Amino acid sequence: MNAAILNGALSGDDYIDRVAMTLEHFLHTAGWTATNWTLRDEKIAYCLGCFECWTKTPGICRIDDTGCDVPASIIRSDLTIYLTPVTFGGYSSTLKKAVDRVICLISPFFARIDGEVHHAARYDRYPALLGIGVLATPHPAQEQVFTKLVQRNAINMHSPAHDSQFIYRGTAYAVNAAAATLQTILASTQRELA
Amino acid sequence: MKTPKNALLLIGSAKPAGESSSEALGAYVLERLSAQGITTEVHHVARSLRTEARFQEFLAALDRTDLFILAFPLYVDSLPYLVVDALERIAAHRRAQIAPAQTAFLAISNCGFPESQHNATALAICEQFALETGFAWAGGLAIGAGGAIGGRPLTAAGACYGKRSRRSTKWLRHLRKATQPRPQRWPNWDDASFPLWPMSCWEILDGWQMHAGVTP
Repeated sequence: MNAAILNGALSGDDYIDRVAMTLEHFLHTAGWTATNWTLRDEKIAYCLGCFECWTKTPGICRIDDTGCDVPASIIRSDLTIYLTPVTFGGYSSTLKKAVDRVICLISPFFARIDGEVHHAARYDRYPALLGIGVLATPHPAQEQVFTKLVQRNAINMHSPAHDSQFIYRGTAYAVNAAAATLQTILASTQRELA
Repeated sequence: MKTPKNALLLIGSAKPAGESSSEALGAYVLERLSAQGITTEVHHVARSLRTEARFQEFLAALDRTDLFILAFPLYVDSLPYLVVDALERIAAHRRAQIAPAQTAFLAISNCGFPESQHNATALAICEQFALETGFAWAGGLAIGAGGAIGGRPLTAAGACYGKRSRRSTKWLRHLRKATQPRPQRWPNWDDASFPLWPMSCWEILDGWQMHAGVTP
């Protein structure tokens, strides 16, 4: 099984980098092949909203940079993980820059899903989506928004399963606590995908 | 909430000036505010973030304003990267201030889908931003089928829609009502969201055909 980790840590956020490495380690131990994208180190331009990835070169963005490699790695994966500091309930700018470029994975045409209009699928299969939000301390309002965002992304990305989880950096042993949480998350995701 | 004396519009679209639906929506609101004697100014996020000097200019303008309006397109269920980046930097700026101004903040989100409820998560993020940074949340306006505006001035786009659907004229009327000089009521725009379906389907289809180089 393949996993793509999109690490949306901002510059200088070593904590989230350690979480990403721990996550990668657990995935390898469980027999997964994981690609760990430290997005802030990658050359990714922001989406121009030109829609040429839908109308001129279907499935491929006109900007030839790592922003094209990330969606390719997502569509080849069984599980995509958005790892990010929770930013006003949403994703960090670093993660959002990469996520904005994944629209090439869906079709510009519309389809109805549960009575709502969404974009139709371009591919036969899509990965499950796991959102991991990192916060200083529990924040119910922002966690609710984040959970909803992951759920909406999963609908629009045709993900067969999705989940969102939170890690708090406020404790002295936060990384160990995160590790335990990650093991639980992965076990649950594997059950979900099985 | 006091009646603002001045308002600042930040356009969150990456498209060139004059071409985005976000700008058309924001400009319409500014026009209405301006008619009420409120001083207005416009900033484009792509331009404002290009250099540190320009962003400092924007922050200085933001510190002076009574009403901060953010108009943006919905990107993957939330705000576009450029807007998230701007909000992160505005938050850092305000956290460094001893007593940031109690500026009112309202957001206008438009999506390509006909149903306006797709914007709900993005507007919830805007509300959390306001709460975290000390802005006074004045509400959010959710627009469905924003692509149908196609960057045209809203009155012109509305006239065009009017030929096809009564719902679009109702939408313009609602927006107009929301910007009436009724300070005790105008900030709450949450009830102003409804879709433009079904006339917008044709507009969107025309748009895609033009993008693809197909003559409708």
